[in-house]
Amino acid sequence: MTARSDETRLSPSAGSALVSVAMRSIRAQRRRLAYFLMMPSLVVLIGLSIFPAVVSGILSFRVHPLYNPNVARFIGWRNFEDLFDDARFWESIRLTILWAVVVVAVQMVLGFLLAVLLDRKMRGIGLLRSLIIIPVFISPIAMGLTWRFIFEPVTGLANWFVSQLGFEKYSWLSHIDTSMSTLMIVDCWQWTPFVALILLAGIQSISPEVTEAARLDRVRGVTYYLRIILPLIRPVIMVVILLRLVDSIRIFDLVFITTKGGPGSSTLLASVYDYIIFEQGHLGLMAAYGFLILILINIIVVLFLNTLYRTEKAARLEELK
Amino acid sequence: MSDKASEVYEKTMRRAAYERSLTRRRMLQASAAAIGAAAAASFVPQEVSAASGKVVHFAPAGKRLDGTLRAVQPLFNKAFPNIELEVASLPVGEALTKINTYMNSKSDAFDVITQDHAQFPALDAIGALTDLWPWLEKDKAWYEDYKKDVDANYRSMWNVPKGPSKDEGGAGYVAAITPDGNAMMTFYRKDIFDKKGLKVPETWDTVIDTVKEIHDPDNGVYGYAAAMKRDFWSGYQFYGILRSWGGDHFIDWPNGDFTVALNGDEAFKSLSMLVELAKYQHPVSSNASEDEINASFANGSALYSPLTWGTAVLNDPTYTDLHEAWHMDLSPRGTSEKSAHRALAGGFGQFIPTWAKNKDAAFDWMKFLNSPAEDVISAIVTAGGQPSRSSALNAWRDRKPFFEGLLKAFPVAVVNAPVIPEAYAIMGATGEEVADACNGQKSIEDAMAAMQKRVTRIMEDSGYYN
Repeated sequence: MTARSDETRLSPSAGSALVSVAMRSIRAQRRRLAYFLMMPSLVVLIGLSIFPAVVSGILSFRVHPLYNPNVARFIGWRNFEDLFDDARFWESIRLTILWAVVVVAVQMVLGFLLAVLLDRKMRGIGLLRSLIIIPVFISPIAMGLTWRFIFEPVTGLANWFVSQLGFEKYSWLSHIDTSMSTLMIVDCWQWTPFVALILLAGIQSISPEVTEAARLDRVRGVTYYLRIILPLIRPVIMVVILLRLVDSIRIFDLVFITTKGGPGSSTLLASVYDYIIFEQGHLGLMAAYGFLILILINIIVVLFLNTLYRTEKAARLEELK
Repeated sequence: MSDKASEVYEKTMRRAAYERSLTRRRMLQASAAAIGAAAAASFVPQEVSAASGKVVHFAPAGKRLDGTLRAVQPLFNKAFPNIELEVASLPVGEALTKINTYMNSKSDAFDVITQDHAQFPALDAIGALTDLWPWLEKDKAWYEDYKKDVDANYRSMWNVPKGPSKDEGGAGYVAAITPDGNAMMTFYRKDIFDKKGLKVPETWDTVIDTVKEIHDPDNGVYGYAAAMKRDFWSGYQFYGILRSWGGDHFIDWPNGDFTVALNGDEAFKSLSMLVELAKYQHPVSSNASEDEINASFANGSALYSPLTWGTAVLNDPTYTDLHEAWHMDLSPRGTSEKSAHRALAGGFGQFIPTWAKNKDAAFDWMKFLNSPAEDVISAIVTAGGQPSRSSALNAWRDRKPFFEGLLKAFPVAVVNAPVIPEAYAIMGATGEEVADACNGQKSIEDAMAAMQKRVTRIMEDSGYYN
């Protein structure tokens, strides 16, 4: 009996080896489980992001006419060279940057003012906050069509109001000098409430002790907002700016429905131009342009996040001093 | 006697027997009814098809497009109870590109598709078109009637390659049939022209003077309007004038010479005319597609357009009070030797995709839709359609001056774009340059140089110059 037990008993080194094998097996099982659990996200990521990006990367080095795919072939960097040689491409980039800077700036200023107005206790303020967000939820197509009719130059509602006020009719979307600013008005109408609500949430998250202390110190009016509120909601502001900036660079639906880049090429923003290139069947050129827009957005995001990180770090250091 | 006729006969006789009290009069009545029913039934067999199942028809949205299909659908359901018809649609601007995308992916989601004529060479290049001959051959009576009734010049546009089909001694196959006729024409307010003693301009050199006569922007009335939205809309305006001067995108594309000819005299005259007209244009024009232009015609703020695709909607009393005032005629021509009235013919045709699942039933539906039957034509016309059949156009021409215009345009119709897969890309590229020139963003010379360069690049990419 004892002899048999001795036979079955393992030496210490063999025991630890067994434990290590068992641990390895458990770890492998866990790893397999982890991979299994990650699989759905990986499939979605690969299928919807990585695969299209790779295909579109390959496409950007090809001539691939949508209407005559039989002649598709590799052409190296030519699509990119064509874009850099195209004055309309540079103009579309210029217009997109102008658009992003102006609409984000206007929306931030108006959004902050609106947030300040909404940051008070009064009857019906909850309802007002709910109503003000409505433009954000309107379908861009429906909104674009509605604004197109409102801005119709001869019989539209906008010019009816203008003429009722005794002014001359305005060309709105019909003239190269006014079409861009008209679209900016519409975009601001739609997105300013969104900015306002986020900023409002930021304002309301400020500790009451801080606002109380400011009140006791008789910090009021513009100084109160500039010196107390704005610095405290700076991280929120930066995030909103980032979101709106990226969204503005990608703007498509509103412009496509209302002007499709016209009159002439006066509202030909990057995404619209890229879609028109697709519509005309130049899939390779479209992919190349898409990549350039992606790079542009990434540069802006990285620069922005970098600035955000630095200012935050500087502010923290200031606080520590 | 056909099966259906025998069935009707037997049913009638059974009923007569059931009534027991057979008088000679009743017997005669029953026999007459049976003979009548048998005779009526003998005209129906073409419509009572063995085909069954589901047919999905994809068409661009609009009164004239999916609207007419939906108007005919109840009649079809009644005549073909075994076939379940579904009409799917998307806005026209989106649909044209989407159809090609679907066909590129060899989609079998649709059994019939309505597509713009200019897209057919591209569909052919993709291999998406079905030769309709096997079905046309089965019902020659219907096909002969269709051939006789639809202007040969217009009908041959739907063959690939364009021109007479094999059964007519040509080289093409019938790729599509169409109950929809369209051509670019002059639209004008007859009441205003009559009042001012003006004639519809016959040549381009009289157009500006005519426009000046009727232009009165201080009173909200504009002498000229056209769908000048950037991209292909402007491209068609330019091409319409270019063709009337005898010019074209290429030196001689029907005979294989694809040398780009957009730096010539005809192109210059055409673009100059559009730039000059822009000075008098209704402000909506610069961003307008057909919809906005029709609205400006309908509300009385635009009075004349030398080149408009338009639709029959302007003669629709439910759409505009001016439905009797809007008349249509041939677009002006140039004054050179090569010039002529050349109406760009457009329209939408129906084809069966190569990958369709239910081709027999699909053709039954197409044939029904293209039927000369009065109730079908009436459904199409009242829904806002514009038939291609001359008999239908003639029957309705008094109520629809647009149809009168179509009858004039079809005999001088030319294809609305070179019949090559790159047509749409070319229209888009030229249209962008035209729009820039007309809005003062480019000089005429710069726009022409850009057109020449871009179209050459498109053709190079497609291997035309190798």
